[in-house]
Amino acid sequence: MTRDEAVKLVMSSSFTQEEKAMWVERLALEGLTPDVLQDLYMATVDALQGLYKKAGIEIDETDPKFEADHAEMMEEMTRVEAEFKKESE
Amino acid sequence: MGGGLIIGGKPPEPSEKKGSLIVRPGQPESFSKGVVDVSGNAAIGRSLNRSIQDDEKGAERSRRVREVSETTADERAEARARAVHDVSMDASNKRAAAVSAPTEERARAVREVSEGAAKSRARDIEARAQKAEDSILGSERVATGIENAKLLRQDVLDDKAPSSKDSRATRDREKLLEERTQRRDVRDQRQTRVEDAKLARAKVAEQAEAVRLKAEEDETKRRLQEAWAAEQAVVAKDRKERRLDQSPVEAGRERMNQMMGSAREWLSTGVTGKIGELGKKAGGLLRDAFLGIVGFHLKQKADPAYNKASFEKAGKVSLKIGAALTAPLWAPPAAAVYGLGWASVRSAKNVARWSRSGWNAGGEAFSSVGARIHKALDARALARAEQKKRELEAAQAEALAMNLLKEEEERLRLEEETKKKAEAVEKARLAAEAALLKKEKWEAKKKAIWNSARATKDKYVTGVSSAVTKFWGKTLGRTAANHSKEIQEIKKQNVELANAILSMTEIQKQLVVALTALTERSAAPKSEKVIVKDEDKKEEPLSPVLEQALNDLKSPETPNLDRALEDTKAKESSDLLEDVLGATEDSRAAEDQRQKDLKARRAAEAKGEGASTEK
Repeated sequence: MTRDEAVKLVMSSSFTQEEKAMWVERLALEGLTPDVLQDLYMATVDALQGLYKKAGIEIDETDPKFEADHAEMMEEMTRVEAEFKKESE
Repeated sequence: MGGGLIIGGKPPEPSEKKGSLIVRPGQPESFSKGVVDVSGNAAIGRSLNRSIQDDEKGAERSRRVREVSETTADERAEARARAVHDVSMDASNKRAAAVSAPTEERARAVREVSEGAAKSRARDIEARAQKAEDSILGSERVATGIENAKLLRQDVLDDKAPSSKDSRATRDREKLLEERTQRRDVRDQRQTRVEDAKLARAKVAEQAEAVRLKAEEDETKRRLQEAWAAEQAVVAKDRKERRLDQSPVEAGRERMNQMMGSAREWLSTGVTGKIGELGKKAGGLLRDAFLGIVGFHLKQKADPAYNKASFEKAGKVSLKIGAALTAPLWAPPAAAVYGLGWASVRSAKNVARWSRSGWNAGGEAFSSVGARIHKALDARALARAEQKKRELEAAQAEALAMNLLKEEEERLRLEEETKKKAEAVEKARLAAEAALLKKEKWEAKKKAIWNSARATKDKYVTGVSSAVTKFWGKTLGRTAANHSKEIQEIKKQNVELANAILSMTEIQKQLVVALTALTERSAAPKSEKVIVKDEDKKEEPLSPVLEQALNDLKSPETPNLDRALEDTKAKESSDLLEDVLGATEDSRAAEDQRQKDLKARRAAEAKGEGASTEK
């Protein structure tokens, strides 16, 4: 993905004008860095959650799959964090 | 000694002075004049003179008298030269003896005095040691007595009258102790005396050795002087024998040369400067005495005026007697007496002339000698002047060499300083280069550390985001799949919302793809990693897409009417959808709270990530 592609994604998203302006400006200033990409992704997650909520669709947190995925995510994050700490020493 | 005749004195002037050795030839007028002036009878004198000058007999007599006179003068000159030589030889021998004898006597005297002094000192040391020993013994006796008195006093103070037994035992013990102490002291003192005697003996032996060495040295000097004197005597004897065949004048001249040569040799090879000085002084005195005697003698005997006056006196008497007898009665006797007087005057004149001739020769000889002396002295003065000149030139050359040496040293010093400065500059340059290299190395190391840290951080962020992305991708994907029917239903009622959901889902998918690619790139080996460092990040030019986006977003006053309308519709649709879906306030509040918690957690994570990046 290039910066222009990211800008196009932002502009075609359902973000508000202020949100779009913020993301475009950030992309212009910082470029498409991993941080920006990650933050943009989480912003889309939040936006999707808001949209699902608006649509009355609830994410079923009791779903075993959800729990399994969440546990996997937490385990992965723990592993990455441990590895990071080890490398940072 | 012959040397004395040469050194340290001024030679006699060969002419003009009173008492000179030279009588100028070719001046007989003075004698004639003298005779005529004192005759008292000019006419008779002139007549007699003229007649006598024509007389052949008178001439014959004159020759004989001249021969006799010349012979006498030669003999006298020879005798004088011989006498001078003998006197010089005697003086030389006496001086040599006088020089050598005192040295030996002095050495002997020094040896005797040193040995006597050493023995005397040894005796003094022994006497002092004995005296010190007596003094120590006396002091110890006094100390013992004081100690005994103290003990007795202590007994009295303790009211313990010393019993006869105790006092005897005490006395015996004290006596024993005293004897032991005395024996020990005597032994120590004997040992001390032995050591002192050894030291004294060693000192005496050392002094005796020094005296012996000094005596040997003096003896060596004396032998050298004797050998030198003997050699000189042999040479002088040889010269004397050879001189018998020479004329007195030549012998005198040779002797003078010999003496000059000997003096030079003696001076040049003199034993000591002091002896040389003494010889020089003595030689000067001897020369002055010799020249004084000779000069006086010559003045008395070689002066023609002296001889003339003697004969003149006799002539005058004869002439006076002749004049008195000029009466006719006494003519024959008077003529005889007068003739006698005339003869006397004539003889006086001749004798004066002959004498003058003879002494002229002697005077010339002495004049020659004097000239040689002058010449020798001039040569010596010239040699001295040349020596001084050479010394001066040598000193100047030395000063010049010293200056050159100093200049060379200064030049070398400056070169050394310049070299040191250059070395210091080079060293500083190398140090600067080393510092630069070190700095560059450190920068590279820092960069590597920073890159490593950044890589670690990126890896961490990527790992976390990957996990989160994966989770939310699955969750949202599953949600979308599970609720696809519902979304389709929503689409019928709220197109905007449904499209937004679908659009955002699509965007999320693309972002997942990008993030996955980033994760895979981050997981690659380090050498293949492409790390974008903040410091190295260059300002990218705005692309047309980005520029257009920015322009669109920066003109809120002229919003797109269609979009505004769509926004309004979307809002209305949303409100409608909300109403339709009938979401309760409780569920909304719970969702809001959950969203807030999620945001807070993300903010905390982002803060922790920033801190780790800074670290």
